[in-house]
Order: sequence, then structure tokens, then C-alpha cells
Amino acid sequence: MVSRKLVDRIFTVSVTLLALVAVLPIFHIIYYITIKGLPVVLEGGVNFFTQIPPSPIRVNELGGIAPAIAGTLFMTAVATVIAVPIAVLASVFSAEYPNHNLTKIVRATSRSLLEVPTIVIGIVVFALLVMPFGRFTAIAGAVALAIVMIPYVYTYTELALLSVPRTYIEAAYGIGMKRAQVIYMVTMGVARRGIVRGITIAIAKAMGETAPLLFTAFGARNMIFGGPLEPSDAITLMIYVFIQSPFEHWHRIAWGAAFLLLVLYLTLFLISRRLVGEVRV
Amino acid sequence: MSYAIEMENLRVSIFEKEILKGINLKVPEGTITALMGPSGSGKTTLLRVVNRLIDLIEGVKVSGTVKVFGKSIMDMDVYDVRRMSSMVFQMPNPFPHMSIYDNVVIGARINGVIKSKKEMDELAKWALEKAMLWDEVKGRLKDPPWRLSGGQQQRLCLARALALKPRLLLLDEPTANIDPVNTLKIEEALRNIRKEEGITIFMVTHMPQQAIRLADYTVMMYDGKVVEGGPTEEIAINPKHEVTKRFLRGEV
Ligand SMILES: Nc1ncnc2c1ncn2[C@@H]1O[C@H](COP(=O)(O)OP(=O)(O)OP(=O)(O)O)[C@@H](O)[C@H]1O
Ligand SMILES: [Mg+2]
Repeated sequence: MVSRKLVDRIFTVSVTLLALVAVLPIFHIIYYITIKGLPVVLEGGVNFFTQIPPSPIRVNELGGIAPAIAGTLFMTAVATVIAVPIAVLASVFSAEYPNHNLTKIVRATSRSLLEVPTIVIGIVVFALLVMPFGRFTAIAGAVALAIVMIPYVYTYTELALLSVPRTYIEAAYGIGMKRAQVIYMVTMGVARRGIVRGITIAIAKAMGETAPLLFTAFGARNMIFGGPLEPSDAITLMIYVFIQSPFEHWHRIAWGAAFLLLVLYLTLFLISRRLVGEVRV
Repeated sequence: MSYAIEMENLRVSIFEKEILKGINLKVPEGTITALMGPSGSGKTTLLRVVNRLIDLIEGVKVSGTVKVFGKSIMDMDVYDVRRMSSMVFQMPNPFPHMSIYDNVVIGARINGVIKSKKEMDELAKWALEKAMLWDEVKGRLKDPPWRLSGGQQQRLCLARALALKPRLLLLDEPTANIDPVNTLKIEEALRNIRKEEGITIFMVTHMPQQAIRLADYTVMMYDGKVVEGGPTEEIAINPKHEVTKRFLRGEV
């Protein structure tokens, strides 16, 4: 019987160790980015959020990443406004008509969109929205991000809607609700946590994307924000360019930007958890 | 005598499988009538015909006539049917994302008949009192329903059904998952609702004792058919059908 206990112990210890191994990289990344990035943000102070980055030759200046922040916020916001209604409506349809042909098409499309490398989405939007007008625009970037977001919102929302227990839907019809009322007031209400989780993950995904922006928003960091019809910077785009450059001070700025992105993530997840009340079924 | 429910040769099949096989049934207005029968005999299905929740099931076919208070439910607006005959389900199912208060008034709110906050509050208080839950929740109407015990949740569902001001209350084994104390509370509430509000109550129960305590009339079902029905004492004392005898002995 000693051996049985021993096996038990070995099992517990190894599972714990493996779990640690799994989460360790995440903590390492957070730690590393904070160590490298936080001092840069502190040194830059308010300027880090309000100024444009310095030119490569001004090695003693830190400047700021305002164009990247503005671009990321603008394009993510517009992408969310485009993606959420489309994806939520599509998932409501799918959940209501699970066997409809349109549902099958939407589901297959969504699944393949999840698998397509996002740079391909960037190229498609380049062909549709950049080439015809002959210019890179923030709007084109936002559209590309919206396409990245849609399958995430759709998949999470559909799953959340389908897992609403049947008994609440029956109760809703039972008190004389019309179909639209049942969907809007009960199904989506019960599923609200799952829906918001999907939207949050999609927003995080959009904020962290670089590839779809390369050929759409392109990047522009000589002014803070040129408007929707001008090229736009994004935090990820800027990091991508700056970290590859040979300039020491640009590397530091990239670390500061990475840290800021991390803070944005944490705020996003915290806000979304706070925003919607718990639903225990 | 006038009837709350009248069924003539009611047949229900789901994807060609016949579930109700020619039901003839009358529930007198203003009574408590119990529906009993072994598992799978079609009680839930029968109940769901009355408020047309059966329409939600895929592949269902209904034939025969069903009248509620003298009107054929097929000729009525389905939403009117459901409001007139509201339902309490076997598992307590208050809407988990709404407060206790909202759970009660949601029906009135979507119907748009009651508008002022004061009328809403009065309706909520009335329904919760009738469901014998008011004293336990009056200080925490904004709480989510999952803070309540199972028995309290079921009484909340009763209040939600009552707040529609129905003429007919349908209950599908409302105490099957509830402890004895809560069961007696619900029974007392039902007795008062019938007496004070004149609401007809048609309830499925698998407990003969509950039918004896509550019901004026009892209907016995077996395999998609009504096998006998009449005043509860008669059925309890002198059951005619073999299934009823076995059911009363607790054998089926
Ligand atoms: N949606 C459905 N699809 C197919 N068959 C169904 C469906 N609903 C019910 N049935 C079948 O109809 C028959 C009667 O079911 P019903 O739920 O009405 O019985 P019941 O008397 O309420 O039983 P219980 O006492 O277990 O609740 C059963 O054989 C059941 O399998
Ligand atoms: Mg049943």
C-alpha cells in the first residue's frame, strides 16, 4: 500500500510541476516586458502618451508613442463597432436555426477565417480597400481587424447562446414572450457573460494584431492621428518596425509600447469582468 | 357547469410517434384538478398542449379540439393563450440574469399593460404574497434568484406565473424537486389562489397524497390515454382501473 501512496504523490507532484511549466512562460513574459518597458514609460512620463516618436538620429530623445496609441484605439474601436453587430446577429441566427443551410455556410466560413493567417486578411483588404483608392487608410486597417474579430465573437457568442438551458427559453415563451423578446431578453441575457467574453477576446486579438495592418493602415508616425482616411500607426506596427531597427532608443520605445499594450490588455479584461454581472444557472 | 379546459379526441405525435392517443378531458372552472400517471404516460405533453408550448417542439402534430374557457386555442392568438394559462415547471427556472423583482414583473412589462412604477410594485407585492414568498424576499428584491433556496425559487416561479393574472394555472410536478416544508407552503398557496382569486388550477403530480390533499378532481393517464377521472375521493377510495390501483399502491 505504500507504493500506492507513493504513486499518488508522484502523480500530484508531477501534475503540479507540469502546470507550473505551462504558466511559467506567461509570467516570464509579463516579468520581462515590465522590467524592460516600465522604466521607459516612467522616464517618458506624460510625454510618452502625447508626443510623436523621435527621428532615428535624435538618439537622446524618447518622445512618445501617441500616433500608435491613437491608431490602435481608433482602429480597434471601429473594428469592434463593425464586427460585433455582424457576428452577434450571425450567431443569433445560427443558434435559432442550427440546421439551416445558411448556418452551415456561416459556421464553415467562420471556422476557416479562424485558420487563415491574418496576413492573408490584410492582403484581401489591401486588394479591396487600398488598391482601388490608391492609399493606405485607418479605415482599411479597421476593416481588416473587424474581419479578424468576427469569427471570435461569432464562435463564442454562438456557444454561449446554445448553452442557455432550454428551460429558461420555455419559461420565456410560457409567459407570452414573442420570439424576438425571448432572444433579446432571455437567451442573450442568460448568455451575457459568454457573449462579453467573446467580444473581449476578440478586442484583445485585434489590439495585438500586426499582420493585417501592414498593407492596410501601413503606419504613419509623424503626426498623432491624420483621420480615418489617412494611413495610421498602431502599437503593434510600431513595435514591429522599431524593434527591427538598428537604433538603440527606438528599441527602448518599443519596450515601453509593449508594456503599454500589456496594461491595455489587463484593463480590458478587468473592465469586461466588472461590467457584466454574474449569471448562475 | 362551465369548463376551464375541454379536450376532444386530442392526438399528439412527434415525428410520427404517437404520444397522446385520443384524449377526452374536461376540467371544471374554479377547481383544482390533478393529473396523475406513470412516467412517460404523456402528462407533460398534455399540459403543454393547453398553453401551446407544444408548438415549440420540432416535428409535432396536434389534432382534435382543445378549448380553454370555451374558446378553441387554435383560433386564439398564441400569446394570449399563454398569458391566460401560465405555467410552473418541474424544475424551478427563474430567469437567472434578472432580479427577483424583475422575474415577477417581466410578464406584465412585456405586455405593456402596466406602466407606472407604483403599479408594478403593487403587482410584484401581490404576486409574491400570493406565492407566500413576500415575507422572505421583501428586503432583497434586487437580489438574483440563485441566492434563494430551491423551494423559494419555485415559489418565485409561481409568483411570475401569477403576475400575468391568468385564469388558469398549469403546474407540472411543481414540488417534485422540493423539500416537504416548501411543498406544504406551495400547496397552501395554491389552495388560497383558487379560493381567493378563483383561478383554475390544473397540476401534474406523481404523489397520490398530494392529489388527495389538494385536488377536487383527479385524472389518471396511462400510455397516452385518460384511463379514468372524477372526484379525487372516489378515485382514491374506489379506483376502477388496474393502473390507478397500482399507481395508488406506489407500484408504477
Ligand atoms: N420532444 C420530444 N420528442 C420525442 N418524444 C418525446 C418528446 N417529448 C416527450 N416525448 C415522449 O412522449 C412520451 C410522454 O412524455 P411526457 O414527458 O409527456 O411524459 P410524462 O407523463 O410527463 O412523464 P414524467 O412523469 O416522467 O414526467 C414519452 O414517451 C416521451 O419519450
Ligand atoms: Mg413530465
